[in-house]
Amino acid sequence: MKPRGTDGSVTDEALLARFSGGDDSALGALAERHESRLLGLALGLCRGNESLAREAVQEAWVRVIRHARAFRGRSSFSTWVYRITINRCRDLNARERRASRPVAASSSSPDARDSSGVQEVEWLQTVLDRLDERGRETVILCHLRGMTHEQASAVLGIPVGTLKTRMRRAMRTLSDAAGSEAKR
Amino acid sequence: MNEPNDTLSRALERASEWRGGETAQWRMALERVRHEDRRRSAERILRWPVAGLAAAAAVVALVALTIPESGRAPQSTSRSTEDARDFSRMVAMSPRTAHEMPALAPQSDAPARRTPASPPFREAGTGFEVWSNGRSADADPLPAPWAPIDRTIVRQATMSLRTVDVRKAFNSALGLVDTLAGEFAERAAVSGEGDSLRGSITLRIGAGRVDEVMRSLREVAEVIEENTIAEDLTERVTDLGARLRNERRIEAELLALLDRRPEAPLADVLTVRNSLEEVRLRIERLEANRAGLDNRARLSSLRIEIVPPPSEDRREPKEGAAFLASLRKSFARGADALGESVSLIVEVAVGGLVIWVPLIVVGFWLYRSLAWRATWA
Repeated sequence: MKPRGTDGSVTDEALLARFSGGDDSALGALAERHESRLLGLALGLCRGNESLAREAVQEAWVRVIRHARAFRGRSSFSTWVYRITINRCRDLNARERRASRPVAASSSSPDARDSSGVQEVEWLQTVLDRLDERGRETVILCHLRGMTHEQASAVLGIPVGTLKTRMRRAMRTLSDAAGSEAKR
Repeated sequence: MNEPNDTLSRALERASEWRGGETAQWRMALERVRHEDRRRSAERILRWPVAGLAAAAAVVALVALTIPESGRAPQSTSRSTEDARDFSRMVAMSPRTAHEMPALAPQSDAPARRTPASPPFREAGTGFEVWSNGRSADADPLPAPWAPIDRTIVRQATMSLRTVDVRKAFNSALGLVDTLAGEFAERAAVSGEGDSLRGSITLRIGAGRVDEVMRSLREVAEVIEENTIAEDLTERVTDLGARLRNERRIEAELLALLDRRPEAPLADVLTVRNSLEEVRLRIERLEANRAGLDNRARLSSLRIEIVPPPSEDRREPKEGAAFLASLRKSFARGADALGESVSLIVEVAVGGLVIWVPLIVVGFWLYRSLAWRATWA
């Protein structure tokens, strides 16, 4: 594990090792790098429900804290933490489905408060509902800010070619759905 | 990418962008983990003593089950004491024994079943003793299913005793015989002299008194070994009874034949008389057999060997030596118990390798798999 990245900054893995050694500020540094993107991912996967997204990310951090010592570095830290977040979102969505509570976007987002924002969120969720879980995860992950296809394929545990194929198919389904929604 | 796709992509990018303001989910997660850890450690503190106690109890139970010597009197080295108790229960259940040994009645529950209307009696005209609940085994060979079974049991016991004063123990053993109840010493011999004096006695004592005599002998000297054997002769006695009844019926028929045909030819009469003579001879033999069996059942055989302790044990004990000897014995017994426990563990470990190896492999695989899942969950 290299303690410093190519740009001279401390690597995620080194920060995680520091946290395992008892330095809580290292976890804060990791969160500074990843938390907003993790929340974005969770928000997308939880159909815009902010409270669920927060819960998913908090659960993901709990797992990171609990298993920090068990992290062997066979993948990058970011791959690991994104994968955990996706799994937590799956679990929370399943829990909500079991409780017969349709996962709905909360209205606490400032952008969602204005009518155009609300309309866009609702429209997008309607369109995304046409996709299966795998397709939705692929689309959201690939549209995450700063996420490359290589990183997304590593998070999902699939080759890049498969990711691109899934992405193409999902986008076709979404654009068809968007077209049919526009005709209404 | 065409225009609708670009619109979609922009919408998706906006949808996966966090605009919920400042969050510190990591800090909340950290506090949550710390809180849970504190709670778990508190629970663990409570759980460990309970688990430790349970484990200790399990180990003690296992040791008690696996080491037979741990639950037994130190001077006894065989299972015969338990056998003797079992036998006592069998004897107590036998009304025959209770009637044979009236003096022993308080030791068994047989008298409770005996009623004034059913005293022991002698079957008229047969010269045959029938000891039962007022019911002849010959007259009623098939008792009701709920009736207690009259069992004829012969018991033989052996005891090896060790004492410094062999002569005194020998005399004490002989003094245990109750001659009024028909008991006797079948054999009594003393051999050797001085430190190598040894005694050997064979007592014939009432079946119900065996336990009492053995208890008394345990107080006389240290028991090296004791052993009790019980033999059930019920089938043989029943068989003899059936054969006797049959022979008596033949005898009665032959007598009736002679009575009915007084004018029969002499040759025929002689033939019948010869047959009658043979039948009576067989009856006498069967009766003797049965009397012998009854005698064996009535008086149990107790063989006693009395030996002096090894020469080093007879030395005058020094002050505090008894304590050290007791400590040494306890240590030896503990070492034996430990050895047996270890051998049992080794036996189970080696004998069960076929089971342990796959279990360990599956367990290891399961552990790795669960740990991997927990890390990535």
